[in-house]
Amino acid sequence: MTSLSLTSVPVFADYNSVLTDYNFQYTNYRAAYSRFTVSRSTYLTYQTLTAQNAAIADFKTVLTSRNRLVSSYFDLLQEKMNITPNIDPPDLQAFTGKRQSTKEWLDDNQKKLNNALTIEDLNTLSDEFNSRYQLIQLDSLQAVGRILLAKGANLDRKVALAFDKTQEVAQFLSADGTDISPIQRGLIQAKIKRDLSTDKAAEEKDLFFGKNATRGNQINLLQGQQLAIAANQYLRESVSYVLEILKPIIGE
Amino acid sequence: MADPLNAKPMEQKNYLLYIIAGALVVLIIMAVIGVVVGTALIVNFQRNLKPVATTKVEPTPTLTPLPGKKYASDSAVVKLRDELIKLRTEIDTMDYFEAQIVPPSLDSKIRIE
Repeated sequence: MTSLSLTSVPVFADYNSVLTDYNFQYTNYRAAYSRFTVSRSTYLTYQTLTAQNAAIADFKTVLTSRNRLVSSYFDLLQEKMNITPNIDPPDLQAFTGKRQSTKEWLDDNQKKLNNALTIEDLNTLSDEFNSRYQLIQLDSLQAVGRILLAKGANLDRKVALAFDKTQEVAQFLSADGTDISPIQRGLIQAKIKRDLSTDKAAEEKDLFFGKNATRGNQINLLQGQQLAIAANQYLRESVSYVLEILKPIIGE
Repeated sequence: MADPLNAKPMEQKNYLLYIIAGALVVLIIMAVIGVVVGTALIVNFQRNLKPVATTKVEPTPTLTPLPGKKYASDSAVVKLRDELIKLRTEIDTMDYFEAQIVPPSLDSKIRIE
């Protein structure tokens, strides 16, 4: 009989180090943004040269920290996808390409940022980021969608294996002279639940990668997470059915 | 010849006949009302009676013969059960709200104007 592989996925050191860096960049960004809002307010109030220089310095810092945060976030998603089972290699490669493209754009933006001298220059560079932001959001939300779908697909694969194994046990019992009709009925019920889970997963996939998402509409991440949970719940019910089938066989 | 002393006047006889006929009609009406009201009361009383509890003999379900504890220690069956319990736990603990990978909250409109 085939054996189910239920060992949990190991968390690689790369993921942990990238996560640490991401958290560090996030903290930096929040602090930089707070400083920027104060110096901007001071500059707009007093309009002095000193206040202007401080505002430009903090403006540069916050834009730099935002670029670093986005770059770090894409690294985090990449590592997360690498360690998540059941992500198709073409999907993984596609995200690697998007990550590379985003990082190149951020590098280019950063070079201009380093050379910027005036508030107008910085406003222009910030606007460039805003124009790019919609694509950054789409790429990152779709990467999260891939991770959520892969998690569900991984569990679904294990449930399918469990069905096969239960069927094997049923055949063994039948050969031993046991009436296996209750097992067959239970398996049909379990498969119906698994089909419902598949339907929810299809809705989830459509949310992240369907026409609405690619037309530039904001992907509703919470809705995607809720669909993933609904699919998960049906899988749970499916496994519970199979366990109920086994109870009388074991004599529980 | 009729005794003029015993003879009743014609008008008095008619008057008595009217009274007897009227009394009969009233009696008949009262009898009809009595029958109708009585019937209604009986019907109403019967409706208000609580049904007498009856014991239904339900058919005894035929149980599918179960193997009992014959396979309680069968390694393949027990292993499958254990793996399924682990799988259900894995499903229960799957985190779909992983906060770490949710996009960071950015202030996209950073400007000085």
